[in-house]
Amino acid sequence: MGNSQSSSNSSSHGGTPSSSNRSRSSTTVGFSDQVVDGGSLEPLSFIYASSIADYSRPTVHKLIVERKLAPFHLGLNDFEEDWDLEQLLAALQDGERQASQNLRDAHQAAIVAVQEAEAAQLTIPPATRKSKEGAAAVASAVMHRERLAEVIKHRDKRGGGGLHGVSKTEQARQYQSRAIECPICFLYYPPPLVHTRCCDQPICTECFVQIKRAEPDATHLESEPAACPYCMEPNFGCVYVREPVRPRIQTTQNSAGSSGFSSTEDATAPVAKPKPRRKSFAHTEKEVVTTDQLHPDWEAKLEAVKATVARRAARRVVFRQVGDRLIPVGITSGRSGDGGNTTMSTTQLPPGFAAQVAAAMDASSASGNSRASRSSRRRNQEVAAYLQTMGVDVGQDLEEMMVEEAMRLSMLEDEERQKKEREEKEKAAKANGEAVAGSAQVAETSAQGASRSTLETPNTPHTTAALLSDAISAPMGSASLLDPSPNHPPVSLPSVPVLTPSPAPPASSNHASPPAESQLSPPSAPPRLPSLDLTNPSTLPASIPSRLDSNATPTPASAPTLQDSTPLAVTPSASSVTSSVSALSSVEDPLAGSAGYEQLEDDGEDDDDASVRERMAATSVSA
Amino acid sequence: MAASALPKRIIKETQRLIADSPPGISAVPHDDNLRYFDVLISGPEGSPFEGGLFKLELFLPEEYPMSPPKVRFLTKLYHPNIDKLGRICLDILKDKWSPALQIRTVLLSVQALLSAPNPDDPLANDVAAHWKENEQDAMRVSKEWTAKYAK
Amino acid sequence: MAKVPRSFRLLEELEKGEKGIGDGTCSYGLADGDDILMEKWNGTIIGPGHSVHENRIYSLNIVCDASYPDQPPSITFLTRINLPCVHPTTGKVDPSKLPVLSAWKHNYTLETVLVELRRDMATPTNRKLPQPVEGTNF
Repeated sequence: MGNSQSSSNSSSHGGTPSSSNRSRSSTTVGFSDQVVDGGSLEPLSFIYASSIADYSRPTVHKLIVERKLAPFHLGLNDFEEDWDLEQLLAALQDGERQASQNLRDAHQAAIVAVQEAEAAQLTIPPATRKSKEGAAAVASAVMHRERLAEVIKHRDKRGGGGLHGVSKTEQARQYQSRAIECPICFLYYPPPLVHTRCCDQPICTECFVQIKRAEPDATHLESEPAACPYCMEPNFGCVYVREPVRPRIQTTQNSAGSSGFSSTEDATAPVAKPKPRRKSFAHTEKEVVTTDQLHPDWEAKLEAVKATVARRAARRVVFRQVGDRLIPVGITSGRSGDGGNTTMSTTQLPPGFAAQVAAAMDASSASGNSRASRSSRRRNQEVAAYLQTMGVDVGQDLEEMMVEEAMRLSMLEDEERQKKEREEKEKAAKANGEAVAGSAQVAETSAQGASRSTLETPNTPHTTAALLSDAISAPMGSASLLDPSPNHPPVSLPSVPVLTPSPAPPASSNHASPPAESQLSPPSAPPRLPSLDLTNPSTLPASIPSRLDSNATPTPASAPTLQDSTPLAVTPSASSVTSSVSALSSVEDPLAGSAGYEQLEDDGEDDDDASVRERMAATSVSA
Repeated sequence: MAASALPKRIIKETQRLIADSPPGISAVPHDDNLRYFDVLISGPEGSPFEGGLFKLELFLPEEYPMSPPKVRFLTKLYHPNIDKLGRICLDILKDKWSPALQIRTVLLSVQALLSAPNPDDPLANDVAAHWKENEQDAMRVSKEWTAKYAK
Repeated sequence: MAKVPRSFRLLEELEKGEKGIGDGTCSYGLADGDDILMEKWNGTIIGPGHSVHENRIYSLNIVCDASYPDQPPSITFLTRINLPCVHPTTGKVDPSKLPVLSAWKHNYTLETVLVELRRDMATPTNRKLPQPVEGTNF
């Protein structure tokens, strides 16, 4: 907030020492009442209450305090430039009422979700993989519900959604005659919002922190950084440019000191830059806040999914042909190292993995406070719940979860440490050569601009855009596609290539070359044959025959005789099993039969994996 | 559930859609579910779908606009990127979704897809094969289906 | 919360079914890939181990009418089976005798139903019931 009144707020309320932020760095605690530039460190509109705090709250707090990210403001449902203070106050009140309802709706939904998860749990036999999944779902639902309850409680305690120490009038004035509509949520906010690093379009902080990489899943083990919602430039990031308000003098004297944020804030924020800002920033520039910074867990999530897939691949059912049936005679295990076939190579844990894990665990426990174990347990549940939503099996044991968690923590810490080092360096550099940096920036800018223009025609959005331009008659301005609100100036063409092919390709070329990227893989693949539906298709056919009786017919061929409409699993059989299997099963309580069965499925760890589908023997694998 | 507030964005999009609907497109929310729209799209001129009026349904999931709307044709049509159940193979409905897109832009894209079938990335394999082997004949079937079903 | 319309809910279930659910001991798919209303479905249950149903494959018809998922689907066994909740001559599942159907919740799915039916086959009382000749149909 550029006006003097709000900057005085920031100095009176902005003094929270960094340590207090740090100590509450768990994502589940630590509401901040701090006001920065007339805004809040916490969301005020709760537009996305159903995915509340999906971002790293400590990171967001820190970035706002450092003036690298615009603070959260209350979004107004409506706004007119000529509104007087009274109308603005009414709009503010309306916004708060809406925010409150958003929260309560989300809480209500969370209560229902818990009930449903619990009800679903009741129908599932205990001590099975399903039941563990169910338990994780319940835990996750409960956690979300509690989280919302906490937010509501905190909000009620403060008597609503107002800003601590800021009068309603002061708050309302920030909007007067200049509020900006966020093109994503359509609510109005006081300027300046953060702007996209690439195409310089505004986005409110509440929407910005929601944008992140697509979640990885077992069928898509890759992760790409989120793209700009407006121009589809990869590596989405935003820049917060405060309005020029203060002379820079006061900051220089401080910049050597490293206590708190007050010194860093002015040193890092490009305060003196007036609008219009330089054209674009590279995502690596220090002014830019990327979505990965706000969601530092993306890598851990990806690794967790990969690990699960690898583990799944490590366990394959080995079949024996008996009559016309396939009888599972065992499950290969990457852990036991019995190997003997080609699948093993993919499943072995990398050398040094154990040491890494041990180190990670040490690191996390060394830095842990009394809260650590609780929050890490909670995060285990989060991970489990998360994995479950990915369609990944959660039947992993606690130990595995702990390992994943430890890896995650260590990665986070490492990241944090590196970032701090970087900041320290930058600060030092800044103090040394303010002027030099300035000119360097300009140079960088033009280089950026140049390189960007070559990158600016990404295939995919371009294609859709081309389709569109084709279909839309000429008078229909392409900018209108984005449907900018009346108050919002029509977005300029180059900035919205999502729908507007900026270099306007000739219409004919659209037909001539429909690039493959323009279409997606089908929403659902046609039913695949189970034997091909493997994480690693090459492995099963290789492994099965090696264990088959010599007179067996080739199993992969005999397995899938399915009709499209009935994705039927392959004949299972656990009755005529080999001696080791029956020995095992005879030990079991017959009543636990199906449970023992499920138990095994547990080990098999999955799901759409055909080998698992075909599997059913009761061999205890990795015990 | 029904009592929960509709996000302002959805309200505004709906208002703007109704007040100023794109040419050849209409979208009207259900009375009992304001996230669920009945959609009509007229077949683009110059395409084998010209003259047809196609019915679709569109649903804005809880996560919208952070997740794409769900859209499906209810009218049968012969198109390589639309399957027998009316499911649509379009990048922006999947991994190329952007929260800056809207109902309006999605429906315009779907309409555009009718003009620009892409048999190289098919959803309906048999149709795509037909399209590649004999585009003229495939378009003839599209026209027939349009006349038969898209009234 | 947004209420997912029947058709998109069923499309979700269809996609999940096409990918293969759970461990593959239960599966389902549309009976007619052309059926835009997605009313008729096929289901398959592989009999649970350590029971008389072991190794058997049961085919079922599932009907999701316009009231689904507010109301449960109706289920009919095609493969003959002796189970208390299944009508001895028609193969129709009596909703009142299967808790997942009698206490239906809209977040239950076709998968839930099939998994529950399979579980019902494995209960102490049901897992030893004499069964019709394998592979015969109602």
